[in-house]
Amino acid sequence: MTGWRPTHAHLRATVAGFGMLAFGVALGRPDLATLATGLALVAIWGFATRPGSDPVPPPAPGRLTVHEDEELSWQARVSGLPPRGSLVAVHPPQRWLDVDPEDGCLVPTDDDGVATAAITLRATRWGRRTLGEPGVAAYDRWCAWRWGPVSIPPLELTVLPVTPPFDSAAPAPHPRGLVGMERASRTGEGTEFAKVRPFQVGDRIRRVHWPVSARTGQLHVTATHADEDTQVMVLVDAVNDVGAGHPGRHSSMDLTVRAAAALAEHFLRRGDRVGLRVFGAWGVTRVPAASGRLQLRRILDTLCLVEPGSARGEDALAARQGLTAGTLALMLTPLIDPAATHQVAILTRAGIDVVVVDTMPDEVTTDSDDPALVLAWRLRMLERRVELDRLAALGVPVVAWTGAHDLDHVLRDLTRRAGAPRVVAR
Amino acid sequence: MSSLVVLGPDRRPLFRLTWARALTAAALLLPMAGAVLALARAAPGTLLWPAIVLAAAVAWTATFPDGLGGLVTLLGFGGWWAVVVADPLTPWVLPAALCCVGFHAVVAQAAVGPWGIRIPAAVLRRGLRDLLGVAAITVGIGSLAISAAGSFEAPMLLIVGTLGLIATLAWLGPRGDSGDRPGDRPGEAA
Repeated sequence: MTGWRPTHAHLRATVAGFGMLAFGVALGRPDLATLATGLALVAIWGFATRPGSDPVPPPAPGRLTVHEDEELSWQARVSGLPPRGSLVAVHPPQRWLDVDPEDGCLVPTDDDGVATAAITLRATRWGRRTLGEPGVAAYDRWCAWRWGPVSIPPLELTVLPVTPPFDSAAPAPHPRGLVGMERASRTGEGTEFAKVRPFQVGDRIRRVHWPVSARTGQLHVTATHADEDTQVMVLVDAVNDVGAGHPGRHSSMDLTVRAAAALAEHFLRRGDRVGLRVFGAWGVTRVPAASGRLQLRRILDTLCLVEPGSARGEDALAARQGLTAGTLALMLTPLIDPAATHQVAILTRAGIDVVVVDTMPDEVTTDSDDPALVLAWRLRMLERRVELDRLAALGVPVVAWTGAHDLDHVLRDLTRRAGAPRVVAR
Repeated sequence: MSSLVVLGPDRRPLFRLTWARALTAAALLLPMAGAVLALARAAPGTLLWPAIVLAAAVAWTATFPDGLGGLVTLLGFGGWWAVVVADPLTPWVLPAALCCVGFHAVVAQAAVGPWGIRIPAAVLRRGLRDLLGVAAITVGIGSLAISAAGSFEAPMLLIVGTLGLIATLAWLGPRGDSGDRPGDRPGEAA
């Protein structure tokens, strides 16, 4: 007993062919018998070439990590098929996944009884998900026998957020580390010119500024600013996801995650220490600050797991945990929930430079015709305006995220402001 | 491939018409239209209203190719032919028989995979070659039967005898794909 089953086509050829043939014989009508000849031939052919062994289904795919909008080819290789047969593979489409071809893929069997069907998949949104179960079915030469459809274990896909190009030339406000590319406030070994000062014991000869030394008659050297790294904490507000559920549009969480990925990659590339903290999402909380390429992968993996709105009512003080003065905190939020404003206030009072990156998409509006919903949305937007005013009152810069260079002037302002004295609560 | 997509209010596709789907639907309709035309020639002056019923059956088949619609269509056409065609040796039976086999082959192919799946050229070529083989045998047997119209039993005996011979030879012949393949059994080299 094999997994091959007769199809409706085989039933049709057999019943119609032999049925009309029998009627033709019984009624003495050779025209009916002639009508039935072709169908009877196909039925005989189908009976005679019935496949005798089951094909070997493709192995279960494992896990795969791709970036958003990156295409991957899902392949089903089935062996042991009857010669001149065909293989059909279908991958179910689902949300945030483009499948091409959507209707499935039909491929002929080669001479060795092997067929390989390939379907192109493209994940359009970050996240970790288990795809739907694809299926394969095989047919013999006359489509008289079918094997399957057989479900194949689904692919587990980790889709890393795409990191749009972000290149800021502005320095971070408080470099405090040992090595890096940020210009420190103190002088030391570095590349950026600070001043020309008299020679001291220990200065390198190659630092001697000969024109000034010749003019003054005393040795002078060129002092440079030290190059240091800074600690950047990316804070992700995952309490709400505004604008979700519209294919082809970005939600606030999409913008937040992609902006977080871009910022993390940018600062890590400059040698800074970058950490991540997510609030409002269950399961992921924080990635301690570190540097290097592995840290970027750690952050991207964590961002994949964010499920917005899965944990509400978090303690606002938790935002300050582990952060010290001098840390540059980048708060990515759509400014819909007051919790974000509370956290920004707490961080600012602790002397932490906070830049709020507004990730509310421009195109988000209410499509409803219900006047109550329209009014509710309008009220929500007014409340958001209040949140923005409160932040402005605190002196917290708010930047709308539209892509590269958004943070340049804000970071420069913060660097200048870092030199001014101020009172903070410890 | 270009396609016509009807989107719903939430911008999700409700219906999609691709070239593959349109061609499959046309390929389903054409053989039956040819068969009805042959019937109209074989029985001049007959009422053609059963063609409407047949068209409905074809539409049912086009919607659910992997179902009983094709069988109903073929049996319906056979019954219509048996009722209205008076000459049992009309040569119009040959194109009608070819159209019936063509209709069966198109429905069988349309039932493979989801509706509107794109059929590669290699599969079409193979199917066409097999179909031409069957058509040639059908025309051969039918022509012999019509030409042997001297006695009443001779055509019938010819058709049934030839089909029986083909069935016996096919059954006794080598069945290349019926056994285990090398490499299928554990420990056996491919």
